[in-house]
Amino acid sequence: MLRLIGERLISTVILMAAVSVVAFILIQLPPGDFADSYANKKAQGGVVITLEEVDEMRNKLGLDRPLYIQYFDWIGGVLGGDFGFSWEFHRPVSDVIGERLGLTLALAFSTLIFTYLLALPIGIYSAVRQYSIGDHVMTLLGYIGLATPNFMLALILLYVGSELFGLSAGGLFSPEYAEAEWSLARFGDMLAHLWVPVVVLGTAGTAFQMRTMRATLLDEINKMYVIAARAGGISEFKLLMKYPVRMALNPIVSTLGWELTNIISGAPIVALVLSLPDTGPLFLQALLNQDMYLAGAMILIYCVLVVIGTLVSDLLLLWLDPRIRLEGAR
Amino acid sequence: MDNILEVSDLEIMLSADQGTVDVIQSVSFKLAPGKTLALVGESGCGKSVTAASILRLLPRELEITRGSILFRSPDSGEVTDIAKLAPRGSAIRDLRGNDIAMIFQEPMSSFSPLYTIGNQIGEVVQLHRKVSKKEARDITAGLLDKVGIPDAWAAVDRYPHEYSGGMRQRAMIAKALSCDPALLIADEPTTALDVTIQAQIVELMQELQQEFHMAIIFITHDLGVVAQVADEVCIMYAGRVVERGQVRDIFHEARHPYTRDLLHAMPRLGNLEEELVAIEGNVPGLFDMPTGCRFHPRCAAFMADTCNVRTPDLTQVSGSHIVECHLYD
Repeated sequence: MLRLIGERLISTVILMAAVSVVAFILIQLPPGDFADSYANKKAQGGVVITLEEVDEMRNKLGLDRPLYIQYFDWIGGVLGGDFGFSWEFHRPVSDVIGERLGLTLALAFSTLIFTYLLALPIGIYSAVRQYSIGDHVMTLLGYIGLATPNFMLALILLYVGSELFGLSAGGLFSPEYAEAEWSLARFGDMLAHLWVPVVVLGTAGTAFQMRTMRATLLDEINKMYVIAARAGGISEFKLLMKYPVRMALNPIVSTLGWELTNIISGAPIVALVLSLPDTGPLFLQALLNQDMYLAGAMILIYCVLVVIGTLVSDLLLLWLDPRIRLEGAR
Repeated sequence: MDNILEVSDLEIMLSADQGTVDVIQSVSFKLAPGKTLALVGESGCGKSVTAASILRLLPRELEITRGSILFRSPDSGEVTDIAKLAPRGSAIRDLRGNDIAMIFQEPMSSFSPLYTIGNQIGEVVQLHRKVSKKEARDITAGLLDKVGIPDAWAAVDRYPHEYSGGMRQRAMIAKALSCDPALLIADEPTTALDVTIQAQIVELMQELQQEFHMAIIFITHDLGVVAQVADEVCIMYAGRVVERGQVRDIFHEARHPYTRDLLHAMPRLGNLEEELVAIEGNVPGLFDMPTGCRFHPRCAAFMADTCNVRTPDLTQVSGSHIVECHLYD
C-alpha cells in the first residue's frame, strides 16, 4: 500500500517535470514574441519603433537566448517560488496571479462539489426507480445539460440572473463590494454571484456523472452479491448504499481528475463571458500579448491542478477498492 | 402445523412487454423439521424461482399471484404466510438470514469484493443478534472454523478474492448458519464447483444439518446428489411439480415419463455398457407453453386427444407419492 502510494507520487513528480516542458514550449509556439507584439501595439498607436529598438528590447528581456537556457532559467525560478515578471503589468507574475487564483480555485472546487452533490443522488434515484416519471425527467434534463454549450448557458443565466433576481450582470461581486476589503458581507455577496458560473461550468459534468452513476448502478443492482446480502436481512437502504452504490463509485472516482480538467479548461471562456475577476480573462490576455512568463505560469498552474486531481482520484480509488490495493501489494 | 414449511398452490406470474405469463403454477410441497427436500428439474423449470419466492427475493417483474407459503417459527410456533408479506418490509427481513437462510449457486460472485468475508458474515450476525462488533467478529471466526476454513482467525480479515471457489462456498455456508436457521435453502450450491469439492460441500452440509437440526431445500439437477442427501423429492417441469415422493419412490418407483427420462439420462457407476438416453427437445419457452400436459411434445407415452388437451390431475400412487400424468388418471 505504502509502496504503491510512493510509486504514484514519484510518477506524479516526473509528470509535472514533463508538463512544465510542454507548458514552456506551448507559450513559445505562437509566431513572434512579446517584443514583436509590443512593437505592433505601439505601431498601431502611431509610434514608430525601429528594428534595432525591438532587438534591444529582446536582448534586455533575454528573449534572444536559446530556448533551453530560457527554460532552465524560468523553471529554476519557479522552483524557488519566483514565476518571473509580467511585462504587461510591470509586476511580478506571482502578484498578478495571486489575487485572482483564489477565486479560480473557489470556482473550480465549488463546481466539483456542485457536480457530485447533485449527480450522485439523482443517478442513484434514477437507477432505483428506473423508467419512473422522475427518471425520465432527469434523463431528459441530463441530455439537455450535456448538449448545451457553456457560453450559451452562461448568457442565458446572465439574463435570468439580472432580469429575475436583479443581480448585477456578470462579475463575482456587486459594484459596492468589488473593491472592498474581505468581510462576511463581501463573502455572502460572492456566494450570491458564484452560483451562476458554478451552474454553467458544472451542468455538463453533472449530467455526465449522473448518467454514469445510473448506468453503473443498474449493472450492479441485480448482481448476485446484492441478492445474497439481501438474503441476510439487511434493510433496503443500507443494502443499496453498502453494496451496489459503493461499487458504482469506482468509475465516478476514477474520472474525478478528468472532471477537474473539464472544469479548468472550460473556465476561462465562461469567465470571459461572465466577466469574472479570476484568472480566466487574465490568461487570455497574457496569451494575446505574448506575456510569456505570465502565460507560462498560468498553464503550469492549470496543469498542476489537473495532475493533482488525478493523483487524488487515484489515491481515493486505492482507498475504496481493496482489489487494487492487493494488486499493488503483490 | 407440524411441518416447518407448507407451500400450497403457488402461482408466480411474470410481467413482460409481451404480456403476463405464469412461471410457476400450482406448486405444492411440505417439509418437516430437520428433513431435506430436493427440487429437481432441467434449467428453466422454475426451481430457483420457487426457492427465491420463499425468501421473497424475486425480481420486481415476478409476482406471487396465488397460493400460500406457510412457515412455522421453531421458537414461537407462530405460523406466517410468507406469500402475504411485503417483499421489502421488516417482517420478511426478520426471517431472512435469521430463521431462513439461503446459499447460492455462484460462490465466486455471492460476496461483494469490497468488504472482507468477516465484515459480510458479521453483518448478518449483528442484524439478528444483540452483539457488539467484537463479539460478532468472534462468532464469525468460530463459524469459519466450523465450516473447515483453515486459520479462521486470519481468514476473517481476508477479502473474497483471496478465497478459492470451494472456500468461498464454505464461507457462504458459514454466513447462512450464522443465526442458526431452521430452514436452509441451497440453490445449486455445488454446480459451480469441481467434483471433488462438490462432495466435500455436500458432506459438510449433511454434518451441519445433523448438528443444527435444520430443514434443507436442496435445488439441483444432479440426481446423484439427490440420492445422497434428500428425504423427499419434487420433480419440476415447466413451472409445475409433475411428481413428488420419498426419495426411494422416485428412484425405484418413478411413474412420470419425465422422471423416468431424467433417471435414464443419469450416468451410473458399474453400468458401463448401459447407454445414456438424452431427452429429446427442450424445456418450452414461457410464451409458447404447450396446451394440456406441458411435457407432451417430448413425451414417449404421448396419447393424442388427451395429453395435448387437458391438464392431468394429481394422482396419489401411494402414501406420499404423487404424480401428475394422464397415464394414471
